[in-house]
Amino acid sequence: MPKIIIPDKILGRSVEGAIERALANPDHSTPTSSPTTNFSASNVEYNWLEGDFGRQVLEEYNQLVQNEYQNASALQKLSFADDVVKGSNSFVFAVLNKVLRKQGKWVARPVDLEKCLKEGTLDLNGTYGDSGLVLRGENDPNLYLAQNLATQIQTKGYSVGEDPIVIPLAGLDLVYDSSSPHNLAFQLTDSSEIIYAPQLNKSNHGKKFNHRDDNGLPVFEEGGSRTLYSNAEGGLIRLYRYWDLGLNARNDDLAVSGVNGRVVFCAEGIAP
Amino acid sequence: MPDIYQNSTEVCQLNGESLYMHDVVDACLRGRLNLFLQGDTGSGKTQLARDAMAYFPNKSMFVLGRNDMDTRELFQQINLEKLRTGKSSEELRELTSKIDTNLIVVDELPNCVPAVRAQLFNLFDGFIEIGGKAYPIGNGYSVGIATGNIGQQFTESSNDLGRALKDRMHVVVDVDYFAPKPSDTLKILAGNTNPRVEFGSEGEGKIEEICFKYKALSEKSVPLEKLFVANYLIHGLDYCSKGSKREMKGAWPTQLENHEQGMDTGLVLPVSTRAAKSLIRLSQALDDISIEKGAKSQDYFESMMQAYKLVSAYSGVLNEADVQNKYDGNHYSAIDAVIATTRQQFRGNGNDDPGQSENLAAGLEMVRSGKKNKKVLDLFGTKQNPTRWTFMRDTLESLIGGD
Repeated sequence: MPKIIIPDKILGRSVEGAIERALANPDHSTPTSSPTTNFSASNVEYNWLEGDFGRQVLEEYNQLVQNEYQNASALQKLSFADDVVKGSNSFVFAVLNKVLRKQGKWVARPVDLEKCLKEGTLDLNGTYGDSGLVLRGENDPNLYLAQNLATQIQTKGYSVGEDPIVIPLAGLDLVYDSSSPHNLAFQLTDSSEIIYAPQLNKSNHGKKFNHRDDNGLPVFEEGGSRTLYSNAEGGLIRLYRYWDLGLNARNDDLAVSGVNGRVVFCAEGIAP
Repeated sequence: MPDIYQNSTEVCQLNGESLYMHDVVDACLRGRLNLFLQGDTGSGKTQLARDAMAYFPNKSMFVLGRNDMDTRELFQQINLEKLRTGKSSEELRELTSKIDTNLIVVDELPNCVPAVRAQLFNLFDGFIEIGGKAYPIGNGYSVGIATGNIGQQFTESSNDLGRALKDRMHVVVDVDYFAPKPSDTLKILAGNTNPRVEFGSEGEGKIEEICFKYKALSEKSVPLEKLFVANYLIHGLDYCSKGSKREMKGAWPTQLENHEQGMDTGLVLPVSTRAAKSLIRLSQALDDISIEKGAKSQDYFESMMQAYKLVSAYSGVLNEADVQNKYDGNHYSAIDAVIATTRQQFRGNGNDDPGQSENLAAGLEMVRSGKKNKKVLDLFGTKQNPTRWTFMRDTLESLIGGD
């Protein structure tokens, strides 16, 4: 091999001390690859964010909100009571996911919630929790965020504006953005899943289902016990499991959070 | 370059300097890279090629591609009709060595029959093939510029012409996407109304200068960052859920997982080692040009991306169905999407997300130490959990081994 000179810097990063830096940031060291390889598909355990682990994650979350997001109000929605973390909105879950990913865990995606339900590990009844965003078009509601996300999605080669697109929060990053109405903006990462979801069209509002498909989207059947709420048009809205185990894809208030909000997170075979 | 061809449309920005079509031609000449100019009739591609001939007075050759031209006529054009009369190898070598043509310009190359086309490609590469033997021409420097308007035939693998172009032309530029501005056409029209292609004055050539720059470029060491980028384009882009896109052969992209269909995984194939060499060479040449224009610093990654765009957009690596359906047939838009993802892979989204840059720096620190570090190597994935970056394990290990 011809003699190769090792530079002092690569891509603007200093070589000296790089090992320490890289190994100190496990989330950076996670190799970026195709989306499904970042979320283990088998041997997954589902848990509420509670107890000592919940408290520790919440502390780290609050620090991150202060240091990286200038205490944006949409992120100050979590509380710790009755030994469990309470609250849920789209922004909060994107940041929580960042904290959890450092420990090889992630906030539940729609498909994870369905598996969790099937296994009966957790009783999800009576709580709600965000799992994704639904991009219906590059318009209102949430015009700025919708356009911003649509551009990123189009860059990846997807078209926007036909069927709704589901983006699980587990693969999204959140950045501080003073131009955004909430001072926050979603960023796709290499782990982002982009799922076309014709099931979430407005015309399916009120349809019943019992089960969801491989993407965690409803498979409609007459006489099903669960309901899809999807009477919304355009823009960017939330996707969350409803207190009655239905699926809500119509709420355009991305920041609002209630006391019944709960975080379900996934870990690969290890309980916290 | 002589300025009969006028075009102030920027092809790309590099190191803070704007580069134009003339610069791309210049880069190909000093990199000795065969250039194919694709474009609609009257787009100026022939004029651009002819302008380049002024660099090589008496040492360039212009061939107008015609479907009734045979190799005999071609040899007559280069004063080699004697080749047809069956000389000995030594005599043939003596004959061909007298040909000191440095630049061969072929207008409307697709019109040529395959046998003539093959000989022209050989001339571009600096030799003539007679009776299965290659005889060098051009005194060590020869390069070709060809023009044509063949649309999608580039990308049809069943098409002989498309395959030949992919094999023998190093850089393909669709000039229609870099059309002259109204201010340029105003200058052209105000100058004269002769619709014919004009020959530049055969004044002072720049043969020595170009040959010198070519030699300097060939001997210049390639920054490691560029080699990493090239390896990513060869191996990183090969990675997919099925293991290797190359090994999938015709099953790519239809047999990929659903989520991969909309990612760069389903949009682009890896580059070949040969194409990687071309794009490194082009990147080096573009860097030199930007420095001559006043650039104060060099961004190796961006330079490689611009070269990748010019070398790969029409090289057959793109999923043609996606280009048509998702990018309105615009190969450059499709390759821009690949570049955006590649940029994110290498550089991330900012300080909080450094992409793989920090891991690459860690890998180099490990190489400096001379010892393998499993934790560092695992940053790029493992055998059990491979990623598109797993190729870096072998890359870094080889640097430690120095083999």
